[in-house]
Amino acid sequence: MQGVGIGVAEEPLLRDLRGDGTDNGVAYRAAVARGSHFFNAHPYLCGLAVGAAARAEHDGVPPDQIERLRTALCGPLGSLGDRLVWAGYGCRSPRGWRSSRWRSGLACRLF
Amino acid sequence: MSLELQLLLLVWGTLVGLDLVSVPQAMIARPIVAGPIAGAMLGDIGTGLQLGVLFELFQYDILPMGATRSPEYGPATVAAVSAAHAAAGTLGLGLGALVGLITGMVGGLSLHTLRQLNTRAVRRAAVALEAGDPRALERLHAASILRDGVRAAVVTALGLALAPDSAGPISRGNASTARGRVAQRGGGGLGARGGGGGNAAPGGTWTQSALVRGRCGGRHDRGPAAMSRPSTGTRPRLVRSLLRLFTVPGILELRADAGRRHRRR
Repeated sequence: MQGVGIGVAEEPLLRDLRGDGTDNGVAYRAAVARGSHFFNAHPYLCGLAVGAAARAEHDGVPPDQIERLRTALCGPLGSLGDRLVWAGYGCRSPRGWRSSRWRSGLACRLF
Repeated sequence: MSLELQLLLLVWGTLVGLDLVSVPQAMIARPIVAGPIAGAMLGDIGTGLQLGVLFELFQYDILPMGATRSPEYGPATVAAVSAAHAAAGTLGLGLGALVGLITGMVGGLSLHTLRQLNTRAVRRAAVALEAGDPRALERLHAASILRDGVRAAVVTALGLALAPDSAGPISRGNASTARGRVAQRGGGGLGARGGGGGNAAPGGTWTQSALVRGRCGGRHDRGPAAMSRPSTGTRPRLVRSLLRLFTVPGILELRADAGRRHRRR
């Protein structure tokens, strides 16, 4: 889903993990690999997950906890964004707008 | 419609198709946005707004959550506006809606195919990704966006190909010319003889209009079926038939044929 995109967005934030190159950038590469794992949320709110995961990598949080953090963020960010953006786009009452009475009335007025 | 205008619509449709999933996700893929802007490019904002609202109402039923599969109405709206602008009158909106719905279905199918292709690409690059190779990650990302751009361009081009060419006789700007040509072609149009009593063109019976005779299978090589055959440009035969069905001059032509047959009886 959005794993590759999240990884690309997170990679510049992880460049500090390369250090002086003594360890051949193992921590950096491992963080980039984790960043490109599966992720799915609302695209407008993915930036929050990118920031949270990058901060956790910098703080040296264990890898399994970072994976759990990413998994835990998928659901809330997805449902919140879908509710706020897709379902609420352009109308205050999606259920009312999606009723056939509203649509047919509007279509009759326009055409 | 000039080639430059069609290219402009193709670019706009591609951008709209890219916006739906890849980039920039700025809501320009919503038909209510894509339609009026396409209409403004054609100098016909009203038609763009009407079709934009129509397809926006279709899209209200869709919530793009998770892996939802749905028709893609962005490029479809651009193609619909182009078709409605080229055809005349209220029935032009119907033709535009038809073209838009077909393009939307094709767009939905192409999105599904694109997801499958992206999945295969990620599986192929899995080893490099697990090794944390940032260049492989960026290559994969850019290739996915490029793939989506090509998909959007192909879908938009298909929709624009379905839309009739406005340079032909049945177009908004040439409506009077088109009526004259219909009368000339059929020999019984309302405009040429004032009462629908035109002469039949050589090469056919009285009960057939010259246009109908010209469309009979295998008779095209026997010579011109009409007194003067108008130049139809490069418009495909299917589109011409659709135009004849859905546009006002086409209906006038059909009515004239029916009236002439009734008088013969």
